[in-house]
Amino acid sequence: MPTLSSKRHKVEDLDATEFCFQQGWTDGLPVIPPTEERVLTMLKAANLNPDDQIGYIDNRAVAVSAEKVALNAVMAGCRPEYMRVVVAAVQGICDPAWSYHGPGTSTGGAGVLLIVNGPIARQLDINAGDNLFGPGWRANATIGRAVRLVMRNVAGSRPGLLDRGTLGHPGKLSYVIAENEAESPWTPLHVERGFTKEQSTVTVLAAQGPHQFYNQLSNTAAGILTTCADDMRTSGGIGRQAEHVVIIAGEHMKTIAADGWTKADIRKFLFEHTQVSHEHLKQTNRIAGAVQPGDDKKMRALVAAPEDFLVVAAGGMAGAFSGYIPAWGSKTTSRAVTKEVK
Amino acid sequence: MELLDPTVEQPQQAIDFAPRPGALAGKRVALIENTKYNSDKILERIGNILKAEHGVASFKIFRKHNSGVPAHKEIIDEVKAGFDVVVAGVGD
Amino acid sequence: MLLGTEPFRSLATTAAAAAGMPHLAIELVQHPLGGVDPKLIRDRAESVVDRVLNALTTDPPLPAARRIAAADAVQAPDDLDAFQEWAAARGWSDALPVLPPTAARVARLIAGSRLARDFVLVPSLAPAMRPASIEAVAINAAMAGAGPEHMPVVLAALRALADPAFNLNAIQTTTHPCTPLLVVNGPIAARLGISGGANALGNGYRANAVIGRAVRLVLQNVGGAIPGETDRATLGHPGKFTYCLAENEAESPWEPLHVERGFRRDESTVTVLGAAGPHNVNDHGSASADSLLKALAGTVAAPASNNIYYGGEALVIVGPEHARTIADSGWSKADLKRALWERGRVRMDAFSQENVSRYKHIIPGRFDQTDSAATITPTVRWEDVMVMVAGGPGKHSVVVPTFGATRAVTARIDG
Repeated sequence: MPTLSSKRHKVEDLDATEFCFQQGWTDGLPVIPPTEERVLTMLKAANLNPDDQIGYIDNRAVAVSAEKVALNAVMAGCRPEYMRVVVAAVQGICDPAWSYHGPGTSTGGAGVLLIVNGPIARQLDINAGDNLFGPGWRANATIGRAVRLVMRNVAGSRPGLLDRGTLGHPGKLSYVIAENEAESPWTPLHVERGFTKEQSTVTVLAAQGPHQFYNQLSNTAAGILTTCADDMRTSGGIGRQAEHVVIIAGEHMKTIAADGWTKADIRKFLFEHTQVSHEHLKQTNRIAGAVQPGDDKKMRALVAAPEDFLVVAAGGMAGAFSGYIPAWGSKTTSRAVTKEVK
Repeated sequence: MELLDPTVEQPQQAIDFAPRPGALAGKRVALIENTKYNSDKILERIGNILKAEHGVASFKIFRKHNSGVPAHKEIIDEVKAGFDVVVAGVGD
Repeated sequence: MLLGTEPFRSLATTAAAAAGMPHLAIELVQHPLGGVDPKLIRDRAESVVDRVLNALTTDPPLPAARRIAAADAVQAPDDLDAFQEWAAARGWSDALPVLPPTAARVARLIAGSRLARDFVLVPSLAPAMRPASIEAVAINAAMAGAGPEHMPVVLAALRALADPAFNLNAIQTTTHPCTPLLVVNGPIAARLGISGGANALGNGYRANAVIGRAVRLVLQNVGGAIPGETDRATLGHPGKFTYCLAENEAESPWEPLHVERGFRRDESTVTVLGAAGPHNVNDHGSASADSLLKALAGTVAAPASNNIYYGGEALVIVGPEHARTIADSGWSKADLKRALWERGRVRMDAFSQENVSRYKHIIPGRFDQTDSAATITPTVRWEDVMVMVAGGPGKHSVVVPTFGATRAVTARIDG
């Protein structure tokens, strides 16, 4: 029986939920009281020892142990079988390329978007369809929550203290989706990012909230994506050239696929149609400086390169809505990281 | 019931404090700005005043790669080799 | 130094502390800088440049991680008797003989701590707010007659005493007789011979004696609690020479104090309390928990205790025989605490009118009852009655009230 090293607190059974609130361990919602038995079960399900190091967050000088991840996963309400996904996500936020300091503290109020790919999504019933960003699926709600609780309780990102998010957004409670690989005509995100179809992965991105756009008129790929580009063109990101996740839902997915477009075609189109003139950017106070002659012709792209659009097929099959999510910051400050679920 | 604590205490790493020089006359000042708006301007003004009125020999402004990462190695190396005191700017 | 804008103070101080520089100079200007007219930026720079200059040229006042210079070596009489007078003249001793803190003795004690000579254990020890380095602790432990093996306990106790919750500054300077009581739990007690058995609070056990004494000498010589000067105790009590024991875990029918307070049974800890002297509870007759409670609760119900006036914890050290009687009646520790709290109430008419008026304002809801038959509990909450088991054969227990405006603190012993 492995030994857990976390400090212990004796509480009356009935007071346990309140106790967790008082200790400042929660995200504002009640948590499952973390008992030794629950934590050990969580560790066992992922085949981990309590003192295995999941990651190290450099500028917080904090080592994240499997025990602490399991503890926070229990509090989040995860089933033991979710632990492996939580671990992969935590490895993602500890990755130097994800660069914890920015997303963990910035006034930009980043959520942590987790995109799950591979067989695990179906095994764990991680929602890829209706009400994609909404409540209702235990895996989606608790896996993201576990990661946020680790950020709060282990890395110290508490709102008002280290977490200086001016507005934040509801995705900071949990922000988990899976790609609809079963019905998508396209290459899944993780395969594009270098993994095999059979591998399961989590892609972690410091991200703003989801923006939805509507198009029920078009029956062509170009038609739909024109609306997307128009909506997205001046989203928070033009100055920083942040990565953008593009979520194509059921009806739009069918239309775009019927035109024979691949994800690469989508990216190319969006890249070309999300350029904005320096004149407009200065006039709308998105970049500094007075308008110079020629600024009306000088164009700035929304993203640094077409590859910075991460296209994901997900969302309900009914409804003429798709969406996009700007990343929190430029790629040098934090970029999407994909980790295998082991 | 018995609950386990999900938090981690900040480790106490004690770092040696370099003693401050008693005055800045003749010293070289490094100013590290974090790329946020006007951080360069405020540091530049401070550098100029220190040079004009407090005898600082020279100052240099270093720009981090971006606000979200610590100053990169080249900055640290250059500051260690050629400067006596550092002012780092945080926040915006 | 760090320059920032006001709303980022918490981020700056936390980041500096995490980087091992808790006293890094941080100066803040008005927020925001972004979007502000360049002329105002210049003004802001001008407004802060003096503070920047000061930060770059002045060492910070409270050195948490500063290197401590090695203690000055001084010449002292070789003759042991002459040394006593010499040490007393410097205010180093507690009036009992002290061992000369020679370089060799101090070096052995530093080695026992397994920390660097100049590591600052406590940045500011009250009331003098001087830093307690490992060397300073070792010097005082040497005078107390402690051995290297005792150092980890002494260090853990000092760390616990420096916790703000303990309120060391008040404990060191008050007219109340309180002094730290050190309760040791876990395997280290047996390993070092810290007694929790017969006469554990009395004389005769080296570890009990020197550990408590070492802590007191540090509090006096580094912390600056000088009897008659900064230490204003009216009478004090003999625990101010030494006041240290282990819990008798082997003979306790309940879980040990440190497990109750969140540690594992196999971890060693020291719990510090700002404690008055022990009040004995003699009960040779009672054969059940309920009966025994009369004597125990009756002793807990002390009308002139600081716990009544100010709150805080009161400790009941139950002798093993009394503990067996209580447990055989099916009572848990929590049952005992609740009963002591409920039955240890004091009638309001036991307090003089002047005191009722005085203490009404300290903790609302305690002294403002008007019915003369009303009672007041011995501590604010039942959880504030602390219970441990210690002592040898015999039907005695002991009640130890505390200073009141203090909380017990438990620190893990490393080593």
